[in-house]
Amino acid sequence: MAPTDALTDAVAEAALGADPLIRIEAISKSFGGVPALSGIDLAIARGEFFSLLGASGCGKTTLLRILAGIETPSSGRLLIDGQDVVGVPANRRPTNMVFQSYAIFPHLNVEENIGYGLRNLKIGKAEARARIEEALRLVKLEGYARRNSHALSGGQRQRVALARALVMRPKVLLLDEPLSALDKKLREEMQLELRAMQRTLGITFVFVTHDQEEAMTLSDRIAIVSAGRILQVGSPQDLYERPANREVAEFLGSMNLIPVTVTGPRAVDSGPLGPIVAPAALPAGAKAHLALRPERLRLGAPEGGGTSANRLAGKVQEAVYLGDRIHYLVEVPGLAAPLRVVAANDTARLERLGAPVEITWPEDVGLVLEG
Amino acid sequence: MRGWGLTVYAVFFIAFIYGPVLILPLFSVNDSNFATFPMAGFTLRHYAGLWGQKPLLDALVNSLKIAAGVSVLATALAVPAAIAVTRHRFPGKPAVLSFMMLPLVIPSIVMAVALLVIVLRFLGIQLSLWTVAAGHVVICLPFCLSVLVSRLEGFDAALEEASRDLGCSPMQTFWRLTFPLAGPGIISSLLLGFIISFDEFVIAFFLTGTENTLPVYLYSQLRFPNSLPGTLALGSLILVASTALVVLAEVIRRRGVQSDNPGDL
Amino acid sequence: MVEVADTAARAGLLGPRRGRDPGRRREALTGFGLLSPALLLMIAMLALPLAALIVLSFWTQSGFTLDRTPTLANYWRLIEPSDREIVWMGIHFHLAYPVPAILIIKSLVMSLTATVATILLAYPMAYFLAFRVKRNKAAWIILLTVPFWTSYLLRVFSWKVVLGFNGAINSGLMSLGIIDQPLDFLLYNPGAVMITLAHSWVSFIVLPIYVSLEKIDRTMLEAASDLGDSKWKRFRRITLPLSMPGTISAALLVFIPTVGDYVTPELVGGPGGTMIGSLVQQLFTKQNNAPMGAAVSIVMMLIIGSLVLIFLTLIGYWRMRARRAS
Repeated sequence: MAPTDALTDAVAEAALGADPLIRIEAISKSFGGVPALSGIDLAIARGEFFSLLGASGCGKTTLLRILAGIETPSSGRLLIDGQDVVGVPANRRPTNMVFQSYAIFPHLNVEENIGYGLRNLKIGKAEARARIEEALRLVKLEGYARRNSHALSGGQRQRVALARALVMRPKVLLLDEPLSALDKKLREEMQLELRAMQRTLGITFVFVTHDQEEAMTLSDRIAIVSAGRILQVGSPQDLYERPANREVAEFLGSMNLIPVTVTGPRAVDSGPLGPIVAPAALPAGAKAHLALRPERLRLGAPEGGGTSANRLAGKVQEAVYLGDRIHYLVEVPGLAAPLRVVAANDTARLERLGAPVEITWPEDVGLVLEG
Repeated sequence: MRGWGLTVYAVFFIAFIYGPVLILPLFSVNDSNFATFPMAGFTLRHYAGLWGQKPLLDALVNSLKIAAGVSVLATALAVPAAIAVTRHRFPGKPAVLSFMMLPLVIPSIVMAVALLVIVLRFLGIQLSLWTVAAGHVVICLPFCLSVLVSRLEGFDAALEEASRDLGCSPMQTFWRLTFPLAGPGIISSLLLGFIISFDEFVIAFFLTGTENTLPVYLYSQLRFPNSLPGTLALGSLILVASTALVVLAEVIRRRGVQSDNPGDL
Repeated sequence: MVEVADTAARAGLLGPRRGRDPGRRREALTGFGLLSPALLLMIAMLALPLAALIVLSFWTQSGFTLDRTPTLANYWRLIEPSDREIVWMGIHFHLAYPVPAILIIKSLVMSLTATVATILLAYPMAYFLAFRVKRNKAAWIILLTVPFWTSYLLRVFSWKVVLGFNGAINSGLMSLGIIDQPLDFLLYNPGAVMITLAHSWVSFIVLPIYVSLEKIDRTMLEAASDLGDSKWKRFRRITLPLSMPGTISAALLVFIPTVGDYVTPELVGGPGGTMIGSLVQQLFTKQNNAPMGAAVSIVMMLIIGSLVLIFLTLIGYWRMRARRAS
């Protein structure tokens, strides 16, 4: 198990309550001897928007397909609403999926696609009709009921796939990178819609994505998956502010990492740069990395003229003007890689290349990460 | 420049593959007993002469019966096999698939004598139209299988997963999704199986008993110069019928779901 | 028939997958279940007959009696040396029974020539279809496919009508006054057989070649031009090598079955154009020596098979194919 922050645990407990909707226990999966998932433990609460975030091939989609019942885990237990569903085939699970390719049935029109699963539920024709219409309204495709599936745009296909799954009123909606095929503008629009839809319907969403910004925009909680393991679970804020390890720190956003040795509860030694003040939970003598977010660093004197701040001297190696902010690379003697610093445009003037600068940051900003 | 050269070549190419074959219908309406230029005038008497030739009609009926049975049987066997090939992972698949495709690369005379040997010498069964049909199923199967495999391969495997996810059992998924999607492939498999069996000569020649199929009858007529006009007329009719069937099979196969995969063409 | 070439090619080229996963077991069993009717039929009507043919080839026939004692006599007879020398096409045969050897060599040469002609004829057509035809591609494809599916017998027969002594060419040229006497070298010779074979198979081979050309990413061609290739150079360095595996597998689908073709040499070959298929037929019927016929068939298939394997190995086909796949 990855080392878990006490705080993250507390947040998880609060979110889950005593009765999670999905409980994944020690699930492993291998394909022909190659492990895809190893020992996954996870609990997902009712009504939660939960994302599995990771690079392609990390196992997140496999986990989603295990939830759907398309893949069978090699070992482990999976409970949905208190019921062990390992061995229950996909067609008898209270889950429905939006496929990455959308999997719109090419021989059926829009309403036939949406109504496909309803024929497997014991409901009358009239109710099916009503549900299809409601679903069409929900995804804003009124008037498209008779449209041939070939004649749909990418965004419309995505909406049909969503409606087709939601019309089943699943306990869990599984979404496999549903927005990755859309262009940027449409994707951002759909993100807002999905979030709003999930809040209104109160259905649990499990969302797979490789796009960290998308995961942070949408999710109540995110699990970061890498090489078949879960690195950390938490709210977007948790993961960003309190990454459990270097991998998470580097995965989400940008992070400066400086190799250090822990010297005390609030002190580390970075060798050539000298002692640095940072809250360290590790025992003295431990090898660690000091992690610093670029936007928390400041060029020039500390705000309010504080005296206890950390300081490093360097010179500007690269400056990129982005309008609302400016990105600097600052070369610091004794550091292998230059430090990245993001300055808001309203406070900083543009430093020249080669100009000597001072980097400062408050002592509680640095994170000391094992390894 | 090169574009022009190729276009001219394409026209010649089409003329080359169609020219000799079109000679048959051309001379079949020529008012002469020889297939020679200059043309002697238009007539349909060679066609009229075909009607009422009992051996010919018997052979035609035999061929139709065999072709119909063979195409249905070969397709019925090929549909589940194509599903297995495209939708299931199992060890030894390449080997099994190679074996099923084997009739394509075995000269038909070898298949014919091999079947002849086992039927006559090992099983002691009398040669008949049944033995012909059995041989035809074997040579049709790779074609039917290929048509169906390429049809089923054109579809996203996620479609079937989506169907399962929406509550369909494997059986329901087959009837509501796979079967309708494969539909055009199934029809064209039936038509191709029919044409292959209907036109097949070598296996029928070796494996038939006392009764003839149409190609075997036709072959026997090819040897007699004085039956040439009738042969030309009969051949033209067969050409027209099989062309119509092939065009139908191809058009049906191309209809419905479009695919970007050029392998589907 | 593109699918056929494709499916056949794929068959031999997917490496075996390792599957220890218990979750795969059920899938594999269902797969075999679905496959079994077709597979059983093929075993019963293809594998067993071929096995029977092999068994028969180890028996001997003299007159009307079949001797079931296993022996290599038939195979020995095919290579049995003799003092008598027979010269055919400049090759000296010191064989007691040289007919099969001569006919096999002759069949291989004729079939190879016809196959090469087929490719040379089909490739430009496929190229035209892939790169020049913009509209109505489906119509072109159907136009090119249809002849292959119309009766093989009739297509061969039509060449007899075209090339015959009293045939279309001779009578046409005579009525135009270009020649006085019918040309008798048109029909009943190996040339007529090869023309007919090429004509019969060319419409089979255009589509597989077309597909291998169509699959080439057009931006690759643009990249080659951008890097300074002329059109011809680009064809030689990109298009031709990329379309090679498809072209070769299509060519094999022509070469292998035509070696044993029976109808074409019988109808347009005459005595000089006989091929090995006719000998097999005669051994089984007129000469009443089925065991020898079986041995000849098997030797023929073994020779074709080993030639194909040697050829593919020499040109590095599998490597080529693997590179395309990646």
